[in-house]
Amino acid sequence: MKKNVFCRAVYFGLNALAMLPALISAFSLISAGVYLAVEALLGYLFIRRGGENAPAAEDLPLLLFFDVPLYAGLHYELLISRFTSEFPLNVNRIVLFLIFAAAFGIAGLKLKKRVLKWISVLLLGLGGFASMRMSALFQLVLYAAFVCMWMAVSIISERLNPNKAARNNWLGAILTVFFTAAVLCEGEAVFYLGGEWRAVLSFAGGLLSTPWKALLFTVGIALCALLMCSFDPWEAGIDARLLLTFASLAALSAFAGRRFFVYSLPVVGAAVVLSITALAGFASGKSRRWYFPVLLALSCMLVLTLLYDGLWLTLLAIAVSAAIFRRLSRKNEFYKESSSFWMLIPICGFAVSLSWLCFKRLSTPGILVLILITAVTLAALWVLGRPHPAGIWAGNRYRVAICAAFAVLCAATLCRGGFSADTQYTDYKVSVEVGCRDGDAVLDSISYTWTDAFGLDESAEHLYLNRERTSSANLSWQNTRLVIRATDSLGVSTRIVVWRPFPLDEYLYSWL
Amino acid sequence: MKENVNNDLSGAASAPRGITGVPTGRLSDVGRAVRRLLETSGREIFADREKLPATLRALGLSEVEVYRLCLLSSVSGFEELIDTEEPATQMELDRYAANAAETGLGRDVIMDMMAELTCAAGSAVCVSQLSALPDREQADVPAFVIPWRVYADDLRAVKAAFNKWRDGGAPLPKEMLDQLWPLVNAGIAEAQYYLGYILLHTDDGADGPEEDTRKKGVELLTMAADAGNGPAASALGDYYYFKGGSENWGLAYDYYTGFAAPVLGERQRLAMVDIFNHRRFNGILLRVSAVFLAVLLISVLWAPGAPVFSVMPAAGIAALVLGAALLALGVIRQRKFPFDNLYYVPTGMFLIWAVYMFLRLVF
Repeated sequence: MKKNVFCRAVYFGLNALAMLPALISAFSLISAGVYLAVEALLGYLFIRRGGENAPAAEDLPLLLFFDVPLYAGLHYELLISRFTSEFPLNVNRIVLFLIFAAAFGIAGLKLKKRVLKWISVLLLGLGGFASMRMSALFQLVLYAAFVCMWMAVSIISERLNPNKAARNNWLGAILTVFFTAAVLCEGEAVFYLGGEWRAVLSFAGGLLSTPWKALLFTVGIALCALLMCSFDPWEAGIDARLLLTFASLAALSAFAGRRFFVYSLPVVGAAVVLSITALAGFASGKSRRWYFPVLLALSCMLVLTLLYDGLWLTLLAIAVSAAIFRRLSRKNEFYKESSSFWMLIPICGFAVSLSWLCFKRLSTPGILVLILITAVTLAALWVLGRPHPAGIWAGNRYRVAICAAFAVLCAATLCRGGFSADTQYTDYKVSVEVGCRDGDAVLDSISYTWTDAFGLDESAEHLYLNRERTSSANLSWQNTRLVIRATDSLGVSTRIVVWRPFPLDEYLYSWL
Repeated sequence: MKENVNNDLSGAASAPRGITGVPTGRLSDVGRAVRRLLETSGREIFADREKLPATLRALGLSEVEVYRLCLLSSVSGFEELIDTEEPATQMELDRYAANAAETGLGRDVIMDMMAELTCAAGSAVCVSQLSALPDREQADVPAFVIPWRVYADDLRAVKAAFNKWRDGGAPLPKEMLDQLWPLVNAGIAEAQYYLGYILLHTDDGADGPEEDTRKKGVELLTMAADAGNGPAASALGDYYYFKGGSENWGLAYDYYTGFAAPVLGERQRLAMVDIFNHRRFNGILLRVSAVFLAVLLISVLWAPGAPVFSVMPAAGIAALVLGAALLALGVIRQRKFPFDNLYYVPTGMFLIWAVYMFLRLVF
């Protein structure tokens, strides 16, 4: 089997699998027939006629386009029952109609293809926005997600093959007309049809509901991507990269979903935009490293973890360190010839560790040990970096060993001492149980502070002083974030952050 | 190339003593004087240190020739050289040539004098032309000596071409190698140096000479250097210096400070400075390692962060013992192998300290 045909078959199979929950939720003989018929047609168009020399990513808009009639066809009963012979003209529909008419009018002015494409996308977005009730957040999110996906696959497709722009514009226009007609005729039906996507999303959510399931899913998709490039990621084409990006974003979404809080959506959104930009760049012929989406997903996970714990300074230190190293690494062979590069590692490590220590586990002994570790490491690296009179360069293996030992020591310093908090939330309450991590320490004081998402708007602290090894409290949620500070008899001040659970499902589905 | 050498010495092997290689009639004044002396006084006269100069002067030799003969007669192995009864072996001749270097006479003088002496005594074959050079590996080949004058012109031509090639990058003439091989086979150190140098600096591999060529080059240079050729010793010093590493720098040091000492150029002198500085730098590394050991000691005694992190004195003592052992090992190693790379000592010292601190932080 040719490589491109295999890639197309994988994408086709994944798409068919993704639509399977929709078939199951609205199963009937006719819907099964519709499913098979559309999939067969799509298989013919996408795999058979797609061309052996063209990557699958070129025709992904086709795949997405066919999902809309397939989904509508599966729910034909709902559409029939909702469509009525009445055609009530109200103000909203007239405004919507005028918007579409104006948009099509502009589109007919023979503007550049790029402008047409954006107008097509805009129409799609405007249509969705205007047609949905403002209270139906789920439909809006669904619609926005569809528009984003359409934009992404269109951009990638056209970057790969500019000749596909006309076809994509046509498909976009057909979708817009289809959607406009449906909304103008019977907006309620479209509204309810969107609601039926819950079944698909529930299935997807189930796939990522536990860490091991998410891991299995991600690994499975990543394996498909590796198969596409014959297990040589350095030679990966756009298809394999796209799938790897999807796997990385799925892993990131699963990670973000485990501890959803206010920064989750922006971070995941930024990751999606960056991933699509990277893919589009690669499709345009720019050199991109294959592991970029993996690195991006891991970075975003780190960012989410740090933001959850309110470690802004640590995040800043890591960002500055990464920027410095990135800048230095651009200089050819810098790390081989300069001891400054190696000296920077403990300096940056010290900055990151200190910021973490100050926020999470502040203690004078901890800071003292951290300073000592950094100083001795710097001294060792300085000795190795001293210019040898005969120009002999100490092997990098010595420096790597020293930096690895430094990292281990820093981690050991950060993990030692303090308290751990076990938190459980109910609807409006949170129960906190603070316990010793070390054997000898006892609690000196505990404070509970309520803040908003940005750490501001602090409410009065409630201090409980005792000399117990454990302490528990049952508190009512007073704000978005609860900061628990516990100081033990050894002087270690531990800070733990708990976010009020964000009921995303409630927001999404509450007004259906 | 052995095919360039005429090994037809069957006649020479069975020839009457005294009629080999160089005809008797072509002996120089020195040769004739020695022959006469041997015929009249026997070889015992050479052992008589008081009578010998006067006797030689009486035979009409110049003061320089008398001085040289007196010097050479005091070299170990001279007895075998002038033994008229028993022919000398090649090994005895080679050994004598090597021993004669201690007189301070040039190799050309030594070889010329040896040729005259052996020819006069009939103890060895005196090769009159390189094309008649015997193959040393062949059985029943008599010992032979090649006078300097036999190959002096060839060697001069080779030297000129070699210098042009080395200094200006001029191509090596093909006939030069043809000239060199017989000289190399004859065991002439200078020729061995030229050929060894050429082989070592040739570019027949992807990156420098191929392994076999390089080995042959080093072998020839080593032979030449062992025979007292200064430039060969210098070239070998360069080779081992640039090869790097403890053992190689040791060899480079030996060659630079041996026969190469009088002919060291600017680059070689800088290399020597590097070698000396490396030894000095190793001393600094050891001193810094001692400082690290002190830091370890302070960490054990002071135990920073003791309220939160455990002290673990036993682990501290073990780390101190290990650190001291490593330092002692470094010192011993540096004495035995002064050009060794000692970066592992401070690194190891740091790692021992890190392990001790890790135990403190974790347990």
